[in-house]
Amino acid sequence: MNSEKNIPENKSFYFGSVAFEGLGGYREKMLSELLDKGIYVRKIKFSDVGISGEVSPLDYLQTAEIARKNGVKIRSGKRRGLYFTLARYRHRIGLYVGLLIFTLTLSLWQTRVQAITITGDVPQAQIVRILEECGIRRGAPTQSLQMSKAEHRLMLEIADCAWADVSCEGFRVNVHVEKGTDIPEMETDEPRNIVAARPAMIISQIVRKGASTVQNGSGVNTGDMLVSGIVPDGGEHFLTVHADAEIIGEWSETTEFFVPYRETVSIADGAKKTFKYLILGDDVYPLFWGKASAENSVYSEETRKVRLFGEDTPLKIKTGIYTAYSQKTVTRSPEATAAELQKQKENYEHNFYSELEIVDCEEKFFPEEEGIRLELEYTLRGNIAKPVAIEFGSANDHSDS
Amino acid sequence: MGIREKLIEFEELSQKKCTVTLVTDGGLRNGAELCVENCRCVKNCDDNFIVLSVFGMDIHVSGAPLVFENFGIGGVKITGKIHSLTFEEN
Repeated sequence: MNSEKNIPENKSFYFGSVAFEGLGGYREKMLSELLDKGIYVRKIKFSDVGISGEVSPLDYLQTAEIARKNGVKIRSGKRRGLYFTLARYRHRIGLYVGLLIFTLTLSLWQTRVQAITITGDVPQAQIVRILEECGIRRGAPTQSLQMSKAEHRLMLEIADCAWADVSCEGFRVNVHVEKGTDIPEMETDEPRNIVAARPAMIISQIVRKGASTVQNGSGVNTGDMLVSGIVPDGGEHFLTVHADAEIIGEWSETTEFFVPYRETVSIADGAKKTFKYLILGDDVYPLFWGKASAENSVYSEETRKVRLFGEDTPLKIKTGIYTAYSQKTVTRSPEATAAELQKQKENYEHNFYSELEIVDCEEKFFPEEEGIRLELEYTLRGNIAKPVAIEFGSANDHSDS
Repeated sequence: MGIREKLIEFEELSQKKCTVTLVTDGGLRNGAELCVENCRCVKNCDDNFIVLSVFGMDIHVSGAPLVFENFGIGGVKITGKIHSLTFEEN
């Protein structure tokens, strides 16, 4: 059964309600007069001698007056709702003063820049400096911000700046600066030679265009010509071409590592300092006093959603953790030292030789008093072709020289 | 007739209209809701008998116990076990 749509909801009950009981008198007249005056009453019940119901606290005085006029002795009962909750705290002056101060502070903050959000692919320090020179900084009045001036300065002073946008929303200044995209490297057909990028012995060569000037098995130095871009046209003349080739050379490199038996290392397993932040949308509110920092520590953070009754809320809690480094002395056995050397070797190969072919690697271990030294002699193979443009001099230049 | 007079006439006409809605759930005695719009006054009210006056007629409601769930200028809603509902021209 639901016929709520027939009776409009009375908004005065949002403030609360007062139950009343009335005895004797003319109940019908009282109800009719309440109807006339437009007073809403809820849950009216009748007994042999009386009447009971609920009215809004805003209408209670008028109801009591109408009841008295019609001879009904009225008595108020249970009171509930926001009206009475607020009335209970009406003598708490501090509460109202605090609320007033809070509202004033909030209003005052609205007139000053509280946050500057910078997005884009330009270093923030440079943007912050330009903004400060234009008077846009935290605490500056939002009314007097020279945003178009800041935009012009950003466009002028940032190299390759494609566009800049400075806008103010409430107490937040949003800055977006975009750099122009670099012109992609285009494959050109300009005449060029190919020279050696490093000293090596030629192992193999694939020449797509141009004339090879070296033989397999021969040695070359850095800058030696490998493929010429000047080729005969079959007659007496020469043509210039865009030399293209893959020249595989082989060379040796020596490197060494040393790992001591005893070593003092810094390990991040010391005291932890945590700082919590409340995140609401793009806004981050620190839940602590002071500055979040710790010396000689490694920083990590984790974010989790705030759930209420099993449901996700838009709030998140971010926890920043500073773990202090502690100094520890590590003592290694000869086997562990050798294993550490192997690890260093693998890292080195991964970092420096990932694009080359390692033909051979000769390992020599030299045990010393303090630790073990590892000497590595690599034989490597890779493409040593380096294109260089052909420079032409005019006949006049030649005659002058 | 000006706009003002037309509006007054429209207002009077809307006050003359009365909508009575009875919602039951498995019979009157199992509990029912009676909604009366544009109620002008209450002629009689009791635990088990209510007489409402609307434009041109009286509505007699008998039942036990009868409760005014909502009572106001927008309409009157009576709940309870309604035994009978009578309309009487006045």
